[in-house]
Amino acid sequence: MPTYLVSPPRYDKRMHFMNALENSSIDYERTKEEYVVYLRDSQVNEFNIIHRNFNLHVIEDDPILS
Amino acid sequence: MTIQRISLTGHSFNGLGPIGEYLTINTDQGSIDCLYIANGRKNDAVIWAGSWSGENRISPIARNTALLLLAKGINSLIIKYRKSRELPSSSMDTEAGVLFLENQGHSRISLVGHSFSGAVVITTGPLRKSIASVVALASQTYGARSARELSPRPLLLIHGTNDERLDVYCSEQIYSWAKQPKELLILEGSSHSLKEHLEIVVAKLENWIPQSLNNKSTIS
Repeated sequence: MPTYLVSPPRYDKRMHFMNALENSSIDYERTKEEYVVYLRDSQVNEFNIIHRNFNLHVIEDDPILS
Repeated sequence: MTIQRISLTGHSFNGLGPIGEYLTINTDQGSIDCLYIANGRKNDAVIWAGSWSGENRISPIARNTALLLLAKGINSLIIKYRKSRELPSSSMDTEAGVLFLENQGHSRISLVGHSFSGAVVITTGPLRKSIASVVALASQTYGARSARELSPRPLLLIHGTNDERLDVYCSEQIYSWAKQPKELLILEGSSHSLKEHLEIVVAKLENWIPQSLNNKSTIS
């Protein structure tokens, strides 16, 4: 299951970003510094679309989570 | 967190206050001081949890919005906590306010809380069917996990990006815990008090609260 650390998008896009993840049934967590996005293999294409639409900056993929 | 429940034993009106009548709600847990701003029509109402502090210090957001909502037939109850900063006690005070309003004939109630009180209203929101919507302004996350239990009640979160006490991510995190219907308004440049965008906040609440009270979703 791929995991990504994603920098928060612009303030005015954040609610829509979370809605997009939820509408695609993609699990995520908002931590203090970033969003942690947990993908099932079948969701990679949907996440790529969200990534493009929100101009996301992925800090790290498959990070070691505490 | 286990929420202790509260029962009413009576109430008394104590004369005119700065923007409404002074009211004391008596309960099995003690007496709670409030300001009741009402125009006689009794259906929709708003509770401003913890928005009255000190002698006559009323939050400008609560004061300004309550007066605008009164013109739309929506009454307000501004609650002064018995013990500020204690979440279970403050949630009980808020529930006592809901019980009082229900006894007065109000069937649809919106809860509004700022900062610590954001968590208070989120904690209290799922407890009564009459609670139709919840607003948390610059809320803390501690005590706000029950945001996921609020649905189908609409939840509105407002937070400033220059909040010096609680970072804006707090409201984003609460948003991520909550289910639809929910809305997050981030105000760029606003501090914890939201005073930099007071007019925007008041206008948002003046519109959002009446709409949320008309939400047709069934609360069971």
